[in-house]
Amino acid sequence: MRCVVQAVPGLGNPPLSGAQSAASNVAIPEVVMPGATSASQTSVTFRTPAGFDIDTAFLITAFC
Amino acid sequence: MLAALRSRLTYANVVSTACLFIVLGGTSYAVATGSIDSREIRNNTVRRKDIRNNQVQSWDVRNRSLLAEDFKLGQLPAGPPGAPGATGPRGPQGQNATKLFGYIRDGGSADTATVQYGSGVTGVSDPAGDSGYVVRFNRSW
Repeated sequence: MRCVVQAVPGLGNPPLSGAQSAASNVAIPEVVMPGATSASQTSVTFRTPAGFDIDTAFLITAFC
Repeated sequence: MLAALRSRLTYANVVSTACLFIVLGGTSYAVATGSIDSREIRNNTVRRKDIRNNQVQSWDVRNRSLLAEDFKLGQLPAGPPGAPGATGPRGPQGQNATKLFGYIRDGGSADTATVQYGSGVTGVSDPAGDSGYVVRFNRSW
């Protein structure tokens, strides 16, 4: 079964809580689907427009 | 000869001869004057070529007698659009676009990520060493 996965960084709602939370709405997601070896798993990496890795909250959706 | 003719001049001969001339004279009179009417025309014998072009007019045609098939296609104007049909029955409820979604919260500290809310997400991890996340779905959800 083939799937399409979309990840969107941002603050979200309800908002994050705690001083240690990380959120960015300018991060660029990179979604990797391992495929048959791990069909139910998706890897997402966020980077800044300058190319640096960044932690952020995000919404992820899979259409299968 | 005149005597022989006078000997045959009987009342019957005179009347019959007069009738013959009257009958023949009446027909020739009609032909000579051109007043041929319906009685002199055999039914279903007048053809299209017997009628001069552009001579038949509205009053030559009986009212309410022409049919749509008497006109060339595209000549009669279209009628007004009909009234909208009745609303159809409500269709079945559609399926969700997806049941696999999640809002992932990054705790800010190193290597912590949790599923804030969602559907069909069985777990998320923030492996050390980069800013990548691994999200696992239950595809049979």
